Amino acid sequence: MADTRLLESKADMRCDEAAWLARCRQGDERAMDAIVARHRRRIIRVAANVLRDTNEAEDVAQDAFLKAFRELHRLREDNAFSGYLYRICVRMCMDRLRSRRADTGEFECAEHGAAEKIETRVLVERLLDKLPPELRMTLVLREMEQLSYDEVADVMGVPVGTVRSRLHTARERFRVIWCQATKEAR
Amino acid sequence: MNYDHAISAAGIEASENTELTMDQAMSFLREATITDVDVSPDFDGAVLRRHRLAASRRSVRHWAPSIVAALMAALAVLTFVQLVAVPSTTVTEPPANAVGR
Repeated sequence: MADTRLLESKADMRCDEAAWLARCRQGDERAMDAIVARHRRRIIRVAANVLRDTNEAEDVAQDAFLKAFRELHRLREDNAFSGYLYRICVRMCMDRLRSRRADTGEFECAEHGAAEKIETRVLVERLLDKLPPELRMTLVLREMEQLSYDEVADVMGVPVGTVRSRLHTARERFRVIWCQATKEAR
Repeated sequence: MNYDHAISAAGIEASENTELTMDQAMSFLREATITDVDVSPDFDGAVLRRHRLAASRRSVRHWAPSIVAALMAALAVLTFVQLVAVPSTTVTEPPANAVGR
């Protein structure tokens, strides 16, 4: 009974969303507002997990919404809007990571003993910074966002085999740098 | 034989150690997952403002060539009209015998 109600409410939401999107295409700002309100948390959260910076995550999320609205005519099925927006956001995060790496150049070494003082999140941020953007994104989408291999492949626009090999490399590299950081902290 | 056993035991230990540290590293990573974010109160407003700005920029970019072309055409027409409308200022002198009459 509860399952039926849940399914019905999901179906209702999808109908609602299709109606809102139709109005968005005509430039209705109230509909855009409703769409933003529905998806903002998820989009900011994924950007924050990837970029490890909530302010930058909000910027990227705003850009993702703008791009999604601008290119809404390309979306064939309104039911796919959520995934479409998610993909845009992930690709924008990748661009940010790439430009960040161009700014900072090669890997920076973690400060000796710094792990004692800094929180887990900050340490994770530093460790993730040492991974190339593709590996970092794959690891975050799989381990933090809990996406399946197929979903990661779809979001990143690469074959599933590539996801598997990237994930293997990313996990191993993360393990090694994590071991180094924890040894330094001791 | 004992040597082989020692090697395989060391290999198993190393592999177990790798597995253990891998589990620890991954759980450390998962612990740092951001599950909830504080959305700034102006987020929706900012998206709409930026959307409006982008739309007006696109509109200007779309219409700019037509507006410039229309202005140039208007200028050309004005110049032409002015050239046609200005009365001729060269005074033709009457013939000499006409003065005597």
